[in-house]
Amino acid sequence: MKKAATYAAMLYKVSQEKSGSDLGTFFSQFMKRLEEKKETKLLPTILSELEKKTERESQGKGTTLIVRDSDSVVAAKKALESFSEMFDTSEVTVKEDKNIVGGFIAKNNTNLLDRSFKKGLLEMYQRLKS
Amino acid sequence: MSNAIIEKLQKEIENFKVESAPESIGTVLETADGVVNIEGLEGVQMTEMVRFSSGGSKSVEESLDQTGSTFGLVLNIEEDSVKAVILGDPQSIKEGDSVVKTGKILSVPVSEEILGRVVDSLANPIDGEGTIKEDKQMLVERPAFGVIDRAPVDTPLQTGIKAIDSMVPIGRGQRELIIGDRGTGKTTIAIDTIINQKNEPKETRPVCVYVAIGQKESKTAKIVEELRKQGAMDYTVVLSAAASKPAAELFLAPYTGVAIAEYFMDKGRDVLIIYDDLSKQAAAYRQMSLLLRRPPGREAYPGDVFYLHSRLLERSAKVNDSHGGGSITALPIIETQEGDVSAYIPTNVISITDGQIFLDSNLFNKGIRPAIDVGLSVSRVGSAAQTKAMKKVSGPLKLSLAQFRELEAFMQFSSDLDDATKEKIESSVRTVEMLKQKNNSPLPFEKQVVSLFFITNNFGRDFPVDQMLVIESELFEKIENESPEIMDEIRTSKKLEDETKEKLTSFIETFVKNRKAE
Repeated sequence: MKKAATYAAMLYKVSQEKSGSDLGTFFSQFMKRLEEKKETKLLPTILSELEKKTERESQGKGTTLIVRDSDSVVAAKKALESFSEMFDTSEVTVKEDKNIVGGFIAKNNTNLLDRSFKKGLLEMYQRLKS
Repeated sequence: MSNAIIEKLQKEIENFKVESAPESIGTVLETADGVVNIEGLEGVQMTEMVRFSSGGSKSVEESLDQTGSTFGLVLNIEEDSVKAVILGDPQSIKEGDSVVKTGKILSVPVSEEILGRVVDSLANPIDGEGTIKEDKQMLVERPAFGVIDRAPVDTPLQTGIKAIDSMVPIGRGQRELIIGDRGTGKTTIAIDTIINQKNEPKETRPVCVYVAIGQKESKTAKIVEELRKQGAMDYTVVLSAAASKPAAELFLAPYTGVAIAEYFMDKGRDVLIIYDDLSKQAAAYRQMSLLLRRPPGREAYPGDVFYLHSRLLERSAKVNDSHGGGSITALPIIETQEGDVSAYIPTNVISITDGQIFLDSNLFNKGIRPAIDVGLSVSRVGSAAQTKAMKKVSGPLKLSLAQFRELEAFMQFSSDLDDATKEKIESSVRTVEMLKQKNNSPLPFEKQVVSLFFITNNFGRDFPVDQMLVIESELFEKIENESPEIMDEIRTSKKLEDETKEKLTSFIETFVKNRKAE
């Protein structure tokens, strides 16, 4: 599994750097190498790992913004601007979730900013309980 | 009371705001056998706690039960991923789940309220008696005190077991290993030591921490019940990482135990901690290391298995007055296979500790219980941890038993031996009999002195061997009823002054004379 994941990570990196015929040549050489090492049976797993890697990377590029309802979007985006270094505000996917009660949650591949009322209420509960 | 609660609620509502900072998160790539491979988590530290959150959103009501949060412990930081062990239910983690850094190195909440409670490897109560209020967060991994911060070990820790307190004495701040095969009475010695602490005055009574690692839950429950029955739970904490728990919890349990002990030591108190047993912790650590793909060494243990135990046991110490003057005495337990003390883990721990109490299955099967092999047992602190009274009465004991072991083979030729040798054998056989002790019956220090005085001065020579323990209990009863001042003097002065010795001799001579006449 680890080998397949390593191959997939390498393929992803190459696909970002090369294009066109260079990419085609690279894939042919890669297939030859797999045949020489008798590892062609790893191909389905490599492809699956490559799909997952591509999906993760594409999710990480933009920001997911979770708000209670559509009325909260503008205020949430304005608050998010202060964190523009961590969150790409040009590509924002908005989701609605009544469970957060209010405020917003912003997340990408590497960072999470939870300013939901739900978090505040749970922290208050813990303080009162102790 | 209700006004105070309402005021507190009002204050919380007035000051309600959510201004949390951004947190670094990662994604679960794969999970198997309690180990999680995580992508992301930039800036995470070794032994940092991380929290797993599932993709689905829960309502506030559903989230109120905080036990739903699963935590992990980061143990491998690699070039492109982080590996963490799951501290909780591994079934709740799946690929794609988010992992949030807590920013906290593993620590546990402790307070005085933890006394009398049964907790798990994260110091959460598991006895159904409610939450434990937190006073301080203690780091699970903390560096041991340096040489300069320590004080010499000079105060005895009374186990209440005659054979140990006389020949293998333990001092407060010492590490004394209890080692032997399965079913030789290792846990019994540990529990009797805890029970015996109730004979200590409250001001100097040590706090006791019993760490059950990989034990059957029924055995731990039985131990808790016995401690409660004997009134020992008032000053004891039981930490249980049962056999059914994940390997990570078994690995952590001793460290959590010593973190709890350090809380009390930092307050200037003495603590006794028992690790039952470290062989299981080593096996759990081996399991975790193999799953973390760390290279296996001898017997498939990772290369740092020595460090696993050394950094744990070095935290047991007696500290000087500038650090409160408290101490942690450790009684680690190791289980051997077929009496092999030269195996890997036993030799590691023997080299770390300040002595060992070796329990022999042959002695156990012969009915000599506690089955202590006096020849192989040693206390490197020795008589520095004995009271003057005990030193006086136990001085000749070890040598006498060593001589007996040499002569034991000749017992079958008793008719051909000279009188002196015969007498030696007879006296030693009675000594061995008197050193037997029932489990859960530790003896207070002054009774031990009287008993050992009786046997080392050969007062029992005219009594049958199998009557020795009966004679001993009759002697105790008589002395308590007719001359309690002898026991009081020994207990308070901790010495056997000449005057007390004369009184005791005279009392025992009268007792023996009357007993023979019956």
